[in-house]
Amino acid sequence: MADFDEATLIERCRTGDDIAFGELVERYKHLVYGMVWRLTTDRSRTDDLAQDVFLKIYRGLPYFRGEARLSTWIFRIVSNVCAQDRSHRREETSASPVREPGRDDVAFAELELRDRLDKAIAQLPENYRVLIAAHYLHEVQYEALAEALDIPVGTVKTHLYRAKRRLRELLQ
Amino acid sequence: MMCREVADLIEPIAAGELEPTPDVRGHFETCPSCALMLATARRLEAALVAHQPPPIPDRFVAAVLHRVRRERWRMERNVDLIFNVAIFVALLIVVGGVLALVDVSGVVSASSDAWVGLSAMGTQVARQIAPAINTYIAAAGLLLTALGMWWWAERIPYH
Repeated sequence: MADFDEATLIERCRTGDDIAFGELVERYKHLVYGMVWRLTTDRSRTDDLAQDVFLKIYRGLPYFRGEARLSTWIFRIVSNVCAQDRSHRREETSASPVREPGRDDVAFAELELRDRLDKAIAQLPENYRVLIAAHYLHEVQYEALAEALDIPVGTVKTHLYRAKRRLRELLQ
Repeated sequence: MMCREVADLIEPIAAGELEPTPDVRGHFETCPSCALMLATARRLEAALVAHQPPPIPDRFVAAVLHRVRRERWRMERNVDLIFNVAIFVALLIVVGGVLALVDVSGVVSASSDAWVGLSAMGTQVARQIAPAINTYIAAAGLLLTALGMWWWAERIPYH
């Protein structure tokens, strides 16, 4: 697979170069797939929604003016696609309080916590949900997140702490 | 130290990004409520870190490119359709304009003579094909079936 810089990659994608678009998908698939997986309430739809995101990227590339970073624009598309999907399938998302696990059912309690965590994340405001989804993907650290979302690192940290506090309150 | 003073420190401490001072540590040791909040925050942090998406399916990139090609094909087909419709409308306008420019009564008279000629020719052709009409109907039926199958196949979504 060819190794283009971002501007060249975008230009080549605009001319209908399938190899270039394949390279773009390769570069961003982990980010998009992981974000969609975390943001969607129906995990079985991750594959379809992630494909929808790339289709929207393909449709939107001719209008992408390069004022923001490509990753910032992709974050917004992921967020919009998942928000639209959520609005189509409103679900019951109440989070029940955390029960302190006994020693014999720690593993089960962790699974239960994950389930409640998903529901609690679904209750967060959209911007907090996107931050949590992006930050806890392996490769996205504060600095990268700040750059991608075009906000200061301090703001990323503050918003993340608030989001986690809100999550904790929902779970506690 | 008061509970509200440590409240904002719980998430950074749980994330391992802030080392608690002896005062803060002392508060957590003596305040069960704050200690529970810190324990919950740590479990939450661990769950968020551990909760990673599954591996991306091998066919993912190919599936995206396949959808992109279909999208492009659809767009090209729409452009073709619009172009053909535009050409047809333009032809109609040109024919209409030519008719309006020439003597309409003369055109009507000429077209009437042409119609009589065409009718006579049509009658003669009908007499010739009448014995084999069943063959023509069967052939037309086969042709229509083939066109229908083609139209149906074009509409099937493929993955």
